Amino acid sequence: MTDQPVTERSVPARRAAPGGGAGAGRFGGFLRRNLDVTGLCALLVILLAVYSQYDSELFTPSSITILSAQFLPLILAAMGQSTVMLAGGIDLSLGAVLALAMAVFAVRAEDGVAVAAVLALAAAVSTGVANGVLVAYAGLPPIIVTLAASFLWGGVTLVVLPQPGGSVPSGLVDAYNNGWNGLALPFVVVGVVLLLWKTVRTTRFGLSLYAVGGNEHGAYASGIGTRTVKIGAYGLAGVFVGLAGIGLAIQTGSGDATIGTPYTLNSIAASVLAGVSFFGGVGQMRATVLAALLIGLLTNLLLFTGLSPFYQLIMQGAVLIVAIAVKTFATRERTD
Amino acid sequence: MALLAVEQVSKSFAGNRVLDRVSFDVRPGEVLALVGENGAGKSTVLSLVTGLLAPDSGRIAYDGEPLRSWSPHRAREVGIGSVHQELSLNPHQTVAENVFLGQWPSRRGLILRRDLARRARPLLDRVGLDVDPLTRAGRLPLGQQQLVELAKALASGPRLLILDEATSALDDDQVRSVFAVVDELRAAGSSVIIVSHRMGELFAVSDRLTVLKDGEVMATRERAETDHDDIVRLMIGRELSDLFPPKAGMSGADELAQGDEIAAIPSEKEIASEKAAAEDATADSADDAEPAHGGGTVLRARGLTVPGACEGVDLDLEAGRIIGLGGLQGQGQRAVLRALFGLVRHTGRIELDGRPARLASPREAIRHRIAYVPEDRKVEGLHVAQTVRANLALTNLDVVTPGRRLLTVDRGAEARLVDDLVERMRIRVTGPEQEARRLSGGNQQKVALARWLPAKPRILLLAEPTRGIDVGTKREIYHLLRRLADSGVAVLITSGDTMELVGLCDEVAVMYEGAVVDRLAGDGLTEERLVRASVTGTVADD
Repeated sequence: MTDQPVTERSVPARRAAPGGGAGAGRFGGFLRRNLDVTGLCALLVILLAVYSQYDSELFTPSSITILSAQFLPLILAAMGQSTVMLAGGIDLSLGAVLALAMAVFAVRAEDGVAVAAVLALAAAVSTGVANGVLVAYAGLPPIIVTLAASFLWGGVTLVVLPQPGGSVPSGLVDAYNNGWNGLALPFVVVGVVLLLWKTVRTTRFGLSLYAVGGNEHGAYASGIGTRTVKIGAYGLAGVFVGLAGIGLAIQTGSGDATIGTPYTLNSIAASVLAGVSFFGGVGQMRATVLAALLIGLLTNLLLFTGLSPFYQLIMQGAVLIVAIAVKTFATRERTD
Repeated sequence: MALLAVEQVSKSFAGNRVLDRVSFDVRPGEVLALVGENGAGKSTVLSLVTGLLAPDSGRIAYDGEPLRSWSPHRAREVGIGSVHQELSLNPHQTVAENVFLGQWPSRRGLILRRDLARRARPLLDRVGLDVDPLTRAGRLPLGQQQLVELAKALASGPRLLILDEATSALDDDQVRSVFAVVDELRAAGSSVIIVSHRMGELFAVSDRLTVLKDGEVMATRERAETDHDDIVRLMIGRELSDLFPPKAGMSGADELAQGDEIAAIPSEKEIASEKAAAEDATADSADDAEPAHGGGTVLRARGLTVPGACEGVDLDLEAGRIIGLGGLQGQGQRAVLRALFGLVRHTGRIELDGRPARLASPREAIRHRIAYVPEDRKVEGLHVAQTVRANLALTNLDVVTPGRRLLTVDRGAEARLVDDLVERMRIRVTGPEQEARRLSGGNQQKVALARWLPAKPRILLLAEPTRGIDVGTKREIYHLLRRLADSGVAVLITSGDTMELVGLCDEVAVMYEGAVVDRLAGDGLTEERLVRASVTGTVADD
């Protein structure tokens, strides 16, 4: 950084003219500023076009309901992962915690869905806070803390629910998967959660989250309680992951201690695809939602193609690498 | 009563005492300048005031109350605003979000972008910054970012504003806006502590000046009762005369060097092995102090350019001479060194011994026996988590794997190498197995340098060789570098320390915005001319 000569002279101070410039320029500027979202939308359109070739009923209400029910857990998990990554961390225990929430909910659902949901959420949030405390106060690297936590909570989940089981009231399962009075509940959940995020984002905590992720030392020197913010980030991620676990339990109608594992890496993949920086401070939650949707659709599509599962994995990996590489090159100049 | 009173404060890092019973105070409505060389302790003492560090001993009182459970958060709460050398902005957030970083004004808990931008506007106007508050901070040039920092410090309505090299990246107009803010604050009864390497600025704006040297307060002077010379004398102190070794070609240099007890480097047999080169050097220096051409020139660079960092730099490195790259911080000096070591892509012509050479990677540079001791010892210069032994052996695998038997390390050869270097360089270690990070800065620097010596470099590149090092070790390193030069090595250093450049170097090229603007040698190499060329970017003609 210190190599850069001082070049103020060549860059005259000027105020970006509000409302100035041609309409096309403004639209171009909008596209560039929202490259992550627009790029993902373009990808989504392509994917949906291909998808509709295989599934002619894709755009019918029932199909949309079923698909959104299927994708909700990954979308929520990715939002949790993005929250932590925005603060400069990472959560490798996400899948284990998701399974824990799922197990708690499935086991207690018969006693009352609301109580079970509260318990499941409480479990997920406390594991998040525990991660946060270890990262913030013990100064341990997030990757180590959450890796250890993934074993720990994976084990606890098996204690709670040794074999797949538990039961979720069938009425709820039906309403979730097939719509409730014609309303796609998972869709509503995503909307509500995005709204929640939007609100959090405009609070001091939300801005602090981006500040800590973008320049931790600077944030500390500016009087931000960086430890509290980190704990808050992991705790908030716990809310998302807990909801994801509950969603998965309702979708499948039961609990399974081993089902959570793939969500860890898929949530990271979705976050990275969405443009959330590994170093923190950069990223938009709506892009994360889109990216998770993309990954879900891609997985389904590959299933439709009838390729062997081995080749499906290879394809999925290749598509991810290409997508992320293209995005990185497209945005390189912007983030120098 | 003083607004801020620092009393008998001491602070050490890794056994290196950087503040020694420092006392000064700041009165309400006063501008106090803290003056001192790099490493004198200015930034450290200010970090204590802003709560980034805690003192080992002593007392700091603000508004008559001793600081308790001090933190940046508390400091900001009681009205201490600061702009530090290192930017604390978040490059990814908007200017407005940065201005209120950590204390965003909210409406019922919600912070609205437009509202924030509207509130940031008057603060930005105050510091003379005409940018859209919704721009991402990282998109602004460095100088404007520094002004955003200032606006941020003003946002909390500070009673004490700390400006630590806050003008280093600013042009004249921007500096004027900063000083207008300082005057405004003073008129309103607030106080300012200012640190700057530009002496003229300090005299223009301050009421009193406190001089720090090697972690001690030398004196505090009323501005009306002092002048540049007085302050510089206090900054430099008495030891200047024997701090630096005699320069190349000065009469009696060899005798003095022989008689010097500090650094017995290189050893006799080392010198013998470098005899040819050394004879060259002696021949040159015997003639006169003028730059010698022809045989002595080891490296010739013409039009050396690193995009965005330096442009069209011409440089001749000669055996036996120490060349310095001076100028304000970040004018491209580091890029020149990194280019010559093949660390950054560059264009231009480079000749080694008169033959064109390509230095595309450190590997090639090392093959040409170029050594580089970087500025940030902890990142590039050393493997800090490893032992002194491993650090010294790693660059000398040829020595410790004699005959390359399966490339296994010969522990005996390794031990001899390490013991020899530790002794010759007088590295203070508990043993070869001590971790490099446990050493003081000076000893780390010695290790960083020592690891190159067995390869017998012909060109030695050093960035900020004595930054953060105590004066005793500085002296050792200066004498060591001179000895290496005397033995025929061509040395190139960068330094932000003008005294060091003037005292140590045979010639200094002053850089400004990536170009060499002046070359000073012999009697023309004075601190005054060097500073003037550095600050104005023009040839000092007097």
